[in-house]
Amino acid sequence: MRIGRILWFLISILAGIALGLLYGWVINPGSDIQAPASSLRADYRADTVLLVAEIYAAEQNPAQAVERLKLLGSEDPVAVVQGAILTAQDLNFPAADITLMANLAQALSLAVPAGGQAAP
Amino acid sequence: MTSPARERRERRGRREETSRRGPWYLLTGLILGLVFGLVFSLRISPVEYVDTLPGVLRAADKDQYRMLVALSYQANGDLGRASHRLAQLRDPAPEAALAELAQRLLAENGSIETARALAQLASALVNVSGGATGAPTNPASPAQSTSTAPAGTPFSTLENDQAIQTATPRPTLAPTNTPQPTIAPRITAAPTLSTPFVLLDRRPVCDPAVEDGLIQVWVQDGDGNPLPGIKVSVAWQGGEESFYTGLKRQVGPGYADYRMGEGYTYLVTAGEGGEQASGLTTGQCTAADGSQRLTGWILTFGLP
Repeated sequence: MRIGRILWFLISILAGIALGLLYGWVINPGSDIQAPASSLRADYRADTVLLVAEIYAAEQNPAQAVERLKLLGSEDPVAVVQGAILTAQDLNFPAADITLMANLAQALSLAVPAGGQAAP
Repeated sequence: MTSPARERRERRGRREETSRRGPWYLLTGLILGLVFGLVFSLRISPVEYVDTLPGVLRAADKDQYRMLVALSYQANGDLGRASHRLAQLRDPAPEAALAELAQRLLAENGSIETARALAQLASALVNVSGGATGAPTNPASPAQSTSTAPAGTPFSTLENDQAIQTATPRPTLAPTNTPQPTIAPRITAAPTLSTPFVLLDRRPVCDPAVEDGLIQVWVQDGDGNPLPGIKVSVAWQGGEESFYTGLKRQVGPGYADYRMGEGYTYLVTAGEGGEQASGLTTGQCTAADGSQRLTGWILTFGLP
């Protein structure tokens, strides 16, 4: 009898956990989605890098560009831009846009030592 | 030694106790499990989003995105591209969001240059939406732009609530590459940033409800609609300052104000090269409640 009760008690706990996980992960994963920019789909990531490249083309400030690229995560900024260029090529971005990104990648690879911080 | 009769009594007693307690232990277990499940799924290991759209970004990242769009617009002047990018954020009024962000930046001593870029973009969007073409609002085809629009500019193929929720490895990207139509540039009657505003009204104010010596500027379009993001310049002997309408949205989207100093004469213009309101000074005046105050001004600028 006692063993039966303990067994049912454990089963009820597991059922509660399952319900809780179902609610938190499937039914209501958050009252409002609050995704970080690092989770952007690759095409939007590429467009965000293009934004930074457009600004860089006017400002010519690699350090600022590195700061702005941090929006997309803490990865190596050069790698972020290179990844965006590949995506842009896949998606047939105009050549002028890819050139802007390439210029940014080149400037960052000169200005950013391994580790990700642009030289002042 | 326990007699059989006593043993029977004890067994009966346990049965009665059990039936008296009922199934409450099941409910207790269920609640315990539920609490643990909720804490784990909402706090310890919440859903991670991958391959999301700009529209579901957290507020701070949306602000960063808006700043990038504004600075990019300042750099290349491509309003079509800027408005399509902003459309990805699915703001009901993108220009209002830009103006609010500019206001916050200024209040938090952020970059004035960025605030200016935000205000300029807000102004340009208002001008376009007030013209014949209107800002593009269809989120299903945000890649449309001016003739210089990138064919590969991202566009939405997933709804916001379709953001993939997973704790599993990220899915391989399947790049979308739908040809997008381009729109030929059109000539519109929309005003531009350099549209000369004219001074429609100029009134002194001596109101105890208004701050002393305050210049209140209202800017509107030809139909009387308030215009946010319009640059207002205040000049006096030995100084000049610029600010933008729409940064005090609690008052009005086309509103801006400036507090005069005593003993100075001010000149105010809206936009670039517009009509000037000159000779604005703070004189002593008597308010309706009999109090002595410094005169302020209400200036209304508009498009002719």
